[in-house]
Amino acid sequence: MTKKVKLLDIIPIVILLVLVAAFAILSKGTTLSGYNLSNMMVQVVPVIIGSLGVIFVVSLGGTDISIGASAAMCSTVAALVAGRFGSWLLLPVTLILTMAVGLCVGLLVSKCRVSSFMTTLALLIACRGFLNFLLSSQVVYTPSGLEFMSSTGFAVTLLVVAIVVIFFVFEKTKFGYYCKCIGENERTVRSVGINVDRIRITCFVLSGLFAGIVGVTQMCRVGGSSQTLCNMLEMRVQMAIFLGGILTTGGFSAKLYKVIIGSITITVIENGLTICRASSAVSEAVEGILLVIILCTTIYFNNVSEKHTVRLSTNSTMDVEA
Amino acid sequence: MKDVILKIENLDKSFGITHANKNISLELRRGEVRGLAGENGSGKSTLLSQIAGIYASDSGTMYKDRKPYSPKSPIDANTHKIAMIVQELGLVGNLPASVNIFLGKTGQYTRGGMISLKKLYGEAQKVLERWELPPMNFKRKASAMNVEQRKMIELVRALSADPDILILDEVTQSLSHDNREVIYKLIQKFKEEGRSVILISHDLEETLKITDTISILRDGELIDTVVSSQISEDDLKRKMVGRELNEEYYRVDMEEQYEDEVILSLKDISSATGVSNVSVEVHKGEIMAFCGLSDSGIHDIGQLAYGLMKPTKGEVYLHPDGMRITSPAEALKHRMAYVPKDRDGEALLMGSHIMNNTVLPSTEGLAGRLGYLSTAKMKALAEEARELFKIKCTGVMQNMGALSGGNKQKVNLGRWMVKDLQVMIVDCPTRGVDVGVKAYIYQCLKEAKRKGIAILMITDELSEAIGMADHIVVMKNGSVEKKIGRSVGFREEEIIEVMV
Amino acid sequence: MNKTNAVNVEKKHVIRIIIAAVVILALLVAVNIVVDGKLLTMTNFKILVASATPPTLVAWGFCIIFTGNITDLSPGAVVILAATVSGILGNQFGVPAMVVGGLAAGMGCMFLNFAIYRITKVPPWIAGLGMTMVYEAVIGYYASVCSAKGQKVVTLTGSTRMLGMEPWIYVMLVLGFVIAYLLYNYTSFGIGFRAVGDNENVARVMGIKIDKTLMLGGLAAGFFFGFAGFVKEGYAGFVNAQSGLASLSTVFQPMAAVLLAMALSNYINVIVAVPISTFLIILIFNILTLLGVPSGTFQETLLGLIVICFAVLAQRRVKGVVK
Repeated sequence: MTKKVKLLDIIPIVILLVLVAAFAILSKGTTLSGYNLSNMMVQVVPVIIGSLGVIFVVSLGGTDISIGASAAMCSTVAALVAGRFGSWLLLPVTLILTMAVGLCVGLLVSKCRVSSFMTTLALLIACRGFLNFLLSSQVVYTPSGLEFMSSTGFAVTLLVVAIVVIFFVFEKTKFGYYCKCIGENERTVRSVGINVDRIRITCFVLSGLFAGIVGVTQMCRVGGSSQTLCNMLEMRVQMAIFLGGILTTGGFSAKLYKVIIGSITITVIENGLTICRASSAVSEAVEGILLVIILCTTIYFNNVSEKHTVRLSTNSTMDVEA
Repeated sequence: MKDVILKIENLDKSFGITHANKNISLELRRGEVRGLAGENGSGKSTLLSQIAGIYASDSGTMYKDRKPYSPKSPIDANTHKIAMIVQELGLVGNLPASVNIFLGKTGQYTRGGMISLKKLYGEAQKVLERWELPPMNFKRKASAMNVEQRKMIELVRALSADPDILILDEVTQSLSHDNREVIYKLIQKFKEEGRSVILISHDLEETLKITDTISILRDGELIDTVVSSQISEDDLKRKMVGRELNEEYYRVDMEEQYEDEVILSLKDISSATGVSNVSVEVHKGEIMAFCGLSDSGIHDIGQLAYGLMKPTKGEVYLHPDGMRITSPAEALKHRMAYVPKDRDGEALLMGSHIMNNTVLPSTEGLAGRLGYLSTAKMKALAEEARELFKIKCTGVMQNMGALSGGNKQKVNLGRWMVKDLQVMIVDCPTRGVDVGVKAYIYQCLKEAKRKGIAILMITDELSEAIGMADHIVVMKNGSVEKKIGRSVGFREEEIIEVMV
Repeated sequence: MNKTNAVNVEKKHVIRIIIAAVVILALLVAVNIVVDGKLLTMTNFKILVASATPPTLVAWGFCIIFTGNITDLSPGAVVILAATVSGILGNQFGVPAMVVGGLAAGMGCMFLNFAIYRITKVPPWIAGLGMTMVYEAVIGYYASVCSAKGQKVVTLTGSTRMLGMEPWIYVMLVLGFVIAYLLYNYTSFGIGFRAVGDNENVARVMGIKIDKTLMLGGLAAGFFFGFAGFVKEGYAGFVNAQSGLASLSTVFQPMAAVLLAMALSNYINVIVAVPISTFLIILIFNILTLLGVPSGTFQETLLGLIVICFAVLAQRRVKGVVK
């Protein structure tokens, strides 16, 4: 039994290693060159930071695909504010805005019972639309004095701190525990007497918070806002989470290390495809097919291990109603 | 003697280790109205479901009109002129009533690929006329109908198969007086035409009145078949239970025993689900049982008391803390416990292990600074519960799905009882567990009572309420009909009379 | 007594519908005055109906998949794919081939999608995202081949566009309506599919074959997406390739319409409500354009918010766990 369960946890790592090897062979070693590795390092940071927030939402069994758009829109608005009233405002204003967006999503999902997928997708369109509206009449530059945020050193420090904090909150506190319990069975957590709505809203706010951090760092890196700022971030994060072997239903299958592995995997895939000169159409097709296949594998192995556990017991019963 | 219409030989059915029906044999004659009697879990519904093609039988044979009969689905049963109104199967909400009636059989009303709704209405109307039923609106969507109207539509659905044998599983309990009369008349017509009826009803008096014969089941076995006019209600009950209601099992004392201090009180509570003006006070160390039919609102009382359901009127008051309970979070904080009826669906995290399940209600107490949850502490708590409740498992990291029903229920209760509680609300605590675990759970409840916990027990097993409670509150249609004290002496028939 | 109650409820519904219609009319007249009478003209309405036709067809397709209790947003890419296929065939073999090609592409894609959810057990919304990427890639690949040759992605010309032009486009709308209405309300498949979506358990016990019904549902939805594909190709003359999930946003108008129609379904049949709500949404955006709100940017923002509002409306009575 334990072996089977471990199999589910091992698959993502195996997939990662296979992909690294495959791309190394296909590119004749270019992917493993020092230059490319540092390049990948830069690419992987926003994905990990973004997924540190989204993992809370996913552990509930929901999803948040608004983060990229929300990060881009809010950081652009904040840059406009900061340009007027002082550079230091960029970070706080962005974070307040993205968290407010998260709050709205949380309220809509928990109080109005709209699925998180629908809500965040609609917000994605709305935020992108608003971003394009803002950019259609002006050019937005990153406020000066924040160059330090674009350095690799800063990015790595930020990444390490964020991972440590989230590791504690997600794996070691009652909040993280409740999140995973809600993913397993929301009705249970509710009937015990835990305020599920508040936890769900907090999760979406956290997701917004990390989206904001990504938004600011990316903007500092690029030097200004553009229509492609944080483009596809939400999809990368989604893929990272599922590539890491977390079930779409969330629950205790959600683990922080899986997200990190998944983030690296998606970066390896994208980077590898670019280096192998695959056209954007081919890359998109490969990613789409991979997404379905990997989810299918995760679900299949999860079912296998579950069936196995049940079969082990000789006395599992079904309830018989009179 | 009239012809045998249905003959059952050695019918057997198990669900996992639960042996629901053991070698049941019976014969049904033309024009006979047969009742099935037995306690909850005695296998009545399972037997009917086997006859109606909802469950396949493990072994045994059935003969309909002397020909072998083994239905693969309810539709197949319909072609053999056997139709059933199932207790829990409903209608498709977003389809009109008439379409629901002919669902799965629309083929014969189709011309050129198009179903003629007119024909469906016409056919449904014909069924009404044929059986002299009251008018119904077949064009409405099922979701826009109330429970009673939906039941009547289900009746038409069953009758549309023109059955020789009509099976009714707890149909009358959701019907008003007028519609009950309709059912009685319908049964009479069936008899006159030489057709047969099999029925289950909680109401033994009703069963005795409208049936010719009654088959009694106990623990999945057919005990006896008696002629209704020759047996008294008391004898029938004795045969159903098969033992006297004493033993170590339940309480032996016959007095109300609790302290004077009121712990929990429900003051004039009403809910949107139909509970109206319920007021009760539960004292320290008192077991108060709520009895009633499943739609009488007893299950809502548990949710209302724990703050899970918001009352439209009235309040829940926790006296020692001097406060109103308005949310489950407050209830949890003030040492209340709630064990819901739907164990696998609502109480437990079935995909996770024992430890995660045990810790859930105690998390707030276990968490340290910044909400830190130490794995060691969690494990210790789970081990404690496991030892205290003798949960059979390979370890606290074993998955819940691998446990038996009884052990799951032990986790479900145990995780609350390791806490220091003042109030326990248990909804059908012994549902789906075997006799041994049942006895154990009663021991636990007695122990909790001795410790001075106020217990609110909601149950659909009367014997359990009679065996354990200091007070029994009988509910009907959302309001309290009667409150009986232990010292007065509980009489089952008296309670049933109030219930229905 | 129950009967009079029912009659009263129905009366109330009729009254509500009339009130809503009157309010909308009054608003229209008011807006019309603001935009100098550019709104309520016959020409404007004709244009609006024509431009509402493709989204209405898509909305009927959505109506079917939502009825089956499935959330899948890949239809945006499916419609584009169907339009591209119908364009290629239309240019080479004429109108009949265009129709057949569009329908076949739509039905093939949706059949594939439904097969994927059933076989892999991956939740439809995420499997749909995966398939969107695949379909977008297929079109994108073709588009890049075309642009290498210096062509625009399948431009239809002349008489092959007739199905998307007046008066044929109105015929298409009516045809779509008749098919959707009959399929949804008067066929064994429609009824079986609604039963499966609403209460799979009852449907199974009543002898409905779940898998077969769901797969047929995929084909039916695909039929409408394919239909929308060739009508759109005819209407616009070309359909742009999209990449990076941008095709998702192309179905937001029909999706908002379906959500609104579902919120209205207690008052009017959903199939009837779909064209009405699509028209209303097209009308709203027409008004926004007339009022000078920039299209494509700020209107997108409003579209997103409208979707959320209608989703809230449609979910009003839903109880239970929502993820």
